[in-house]
Amino acid sequence: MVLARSHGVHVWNPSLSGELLFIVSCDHLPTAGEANRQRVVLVVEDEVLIRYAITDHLRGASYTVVEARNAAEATAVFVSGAPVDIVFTDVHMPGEMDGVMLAQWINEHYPGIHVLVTSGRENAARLAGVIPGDSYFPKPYTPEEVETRIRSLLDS
Amino acid sequence: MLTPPNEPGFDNTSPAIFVADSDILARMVIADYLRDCGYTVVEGASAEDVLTVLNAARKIDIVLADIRLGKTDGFRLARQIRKNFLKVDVILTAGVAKAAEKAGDLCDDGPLEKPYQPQEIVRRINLLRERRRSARKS
Repeated sequence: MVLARSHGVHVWNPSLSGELLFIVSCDHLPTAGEANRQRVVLVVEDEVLIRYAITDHLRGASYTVVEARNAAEATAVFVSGAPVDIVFTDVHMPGEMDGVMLAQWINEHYPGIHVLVTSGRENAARLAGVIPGDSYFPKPYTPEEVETRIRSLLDS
Repeated sequence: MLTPPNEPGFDNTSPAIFVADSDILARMVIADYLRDCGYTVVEGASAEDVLTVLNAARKIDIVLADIRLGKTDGFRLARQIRKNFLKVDVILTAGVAKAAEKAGDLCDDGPLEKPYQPQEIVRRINLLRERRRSARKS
């Protein structure tokens, strides 16, 4: 019988005599390797120079960065099992899925992964109600602003 | 927003490799390996990505390109680089033997046939850099 469960620490009482015997399992606590792992940002942007400016800056800020040029590549990264902590995606990209559809796919299949969707202000109204308000990241932006927002989301 | 080649923050010393492969998982693995080896790595999925970066005067020393890149294949890309970007070396990777033969005359030392060990890329990169250094001295 589980007596308490908090943050992945399970406390059992298997004793039939009434004595309290605690067996603690730490099954959800990060391993040493996971705890030291750099945060992983998936940047989804089809324009190579824009993508490089963002990814180069984020790598310099000690993030591990995975690059995808469109939603199909982004979903392939997730399906491969590669760890991703946060996604930064443009809306307009070639292919069947745009950035909004990608955000919805991630929320459905990988809930809990932060997704930032960037777009010009003319699309803000369209995105309202389709994606959470704190997921919208307006253009134009600097790589520093992207990093600040990512850091605040991951540290929260 | 972009960092031009000669401004502070742009690393002029670390060799810069452009990894071009339309297979994102292959690209991720090789790019990460080369970064761990200390190279500056730019990633792209197409010949157009490579040429966009080269035409923007970004410092690229070597292009590592798969022959299958979409509309413009690795062969045509290699020809364009050899014609227009004389300081950039090319390593082509090929998964099919016949294609590998065709790639042979477009890059020094022949193409890298898939599957290849990542260490073999570093060996080729070091070879090309040494040749460049020797050519500059002579």
